[in-house]
Amino acid sequence: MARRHILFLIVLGLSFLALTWPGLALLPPLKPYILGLPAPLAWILSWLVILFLALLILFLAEGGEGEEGG
Amino acid sequence: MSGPGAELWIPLGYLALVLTVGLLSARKTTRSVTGFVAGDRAMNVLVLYFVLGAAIFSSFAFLGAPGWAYSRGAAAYFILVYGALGLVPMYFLGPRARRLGQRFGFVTQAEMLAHRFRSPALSVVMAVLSIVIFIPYLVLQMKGAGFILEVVSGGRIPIWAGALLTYTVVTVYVFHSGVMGVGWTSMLQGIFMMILAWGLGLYLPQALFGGVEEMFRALDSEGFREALTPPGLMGDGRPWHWPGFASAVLVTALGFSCWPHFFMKAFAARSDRAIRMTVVMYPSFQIFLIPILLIGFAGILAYPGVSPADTILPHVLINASLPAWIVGIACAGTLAASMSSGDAILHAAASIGVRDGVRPLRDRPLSDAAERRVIRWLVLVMASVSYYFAVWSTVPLVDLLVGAYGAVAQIMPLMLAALYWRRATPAGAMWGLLGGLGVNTLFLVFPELRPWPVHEGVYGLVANVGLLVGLSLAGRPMAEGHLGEYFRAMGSGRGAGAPDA
Repeated sequence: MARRHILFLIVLGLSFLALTWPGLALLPPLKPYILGLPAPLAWILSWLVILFLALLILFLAEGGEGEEGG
Repeated sequence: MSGPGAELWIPLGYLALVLTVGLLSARKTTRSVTGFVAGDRAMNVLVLYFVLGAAIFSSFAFLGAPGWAYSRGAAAYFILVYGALGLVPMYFLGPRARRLGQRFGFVTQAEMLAHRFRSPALSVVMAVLSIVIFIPYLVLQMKGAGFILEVVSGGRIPIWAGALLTYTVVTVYVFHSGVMGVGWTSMLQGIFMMILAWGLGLYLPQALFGGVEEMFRALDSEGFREALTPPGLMGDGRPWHWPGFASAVLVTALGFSCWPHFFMKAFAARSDRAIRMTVVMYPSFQIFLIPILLIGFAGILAYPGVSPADTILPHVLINASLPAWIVGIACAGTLAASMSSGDAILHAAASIGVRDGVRPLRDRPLSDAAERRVIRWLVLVMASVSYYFAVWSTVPLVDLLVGAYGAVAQIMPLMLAALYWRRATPAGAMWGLLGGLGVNTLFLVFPELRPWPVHEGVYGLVANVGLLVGLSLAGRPMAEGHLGEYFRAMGSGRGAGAPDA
């Protein structure tokens, strides 16, 4: 398995822990509010962004490879 | 009461627009089965992005999700979380499947699995499973459409008529245009849903509480802190627990990309790049669940006691003294959510029924033209059967869908084995799937038998993987010639890496 795939799987595993237990469980239920959203909701939103960036980096690292394959 | 105003003319006009787009979209595809089912394998990133995005955002997103926020508080975060993780497997599995489809002519997930394991029986099992989970899903979408039209029309359009009208539109364009009808209408519907979600989700807290933060502060001071503390509440109002939340996320995220109507779009993609880019961009679709949840939260203090909870969105629409045109747009957006999932399901149910259910059982293959004809007629049959259930059955909206995910997730080990593990055997695949489904169903029907409070799908997955690995290792490997051909086809895209040994 390529190193970038291993790294990505680590990020994916971390995001699962961050978005369920223990990540979400450790946060205060409401305060502080970020962009008007309670802390857990803002936390989830930021992990959406992290996952997006991780996928984007993976995609760019693979370049246009695989296009029109087969 | 005066005649119907904008709240009704907008959704009706919207239905006409969708019908037009749906009918026009058949022009470019060939009149073959591959054209009808997989759009001649020519979908670009834009179409694919909206097809996959809109297929996921169903009536559940617009009625169920605010209902969860309304009645179960922070438990609604679950919907955001599984969605964030759920499409990721597609990034890896999708391109492999696409290349296999191109090489061997597959248009459905079951065809791919049946070929890999040389097992027509597996394809029939998958077809039966698909239809069994598709019918309730489709029924749900029809009910959602009928319900919203009934509410905004003040009862002038009863549920049966609203569902009939909406799904006649869907059935006509699916029958006529196949997957491209689904594709181009999804683009329209997706854009419409995004506008609605952000518009209404930000407007309501502002109008009712003076802002989103103010709304949450009000909820906090009015004694809703427990409900808003993750993982929120269960359906019965007791606090949810972390094993339940985390295992539900795991099972649902694994099942997400396994939905047969969803995964088969990998075969419609033009390139690996189109699939990967769609997955990368997908969170932009996911984020619009946040304003939808805000609508539900806004309802807690403003409209207490609404039951069932998944009627909170229409309840807010009617009672918030909104301008008629906003109600009309919100209604059309909800119809968009229903139709854009319903059409994909209807199309997939007919395609899978014929390709995977009927074809393997026949001695003589159908001609391409005959097969296309049978698929089309099955579209009509499926729509009629679902309509019958939608109008006559009384099962609650959300439970059916939540129950289906445990079963769908059982397909994931099979796909991983098919695409990555040469040593997997037909016996392992078949018994893994059947065992997983059996155990999942057992714990779904008898939840009191569960040794730990985790999602029934987890037990199914343990049995599934155990049987798959155990029986595969105990049996003889499949012929190297067959595997070689299969894995070579999968690796033939440049940059796919070496085929896994």
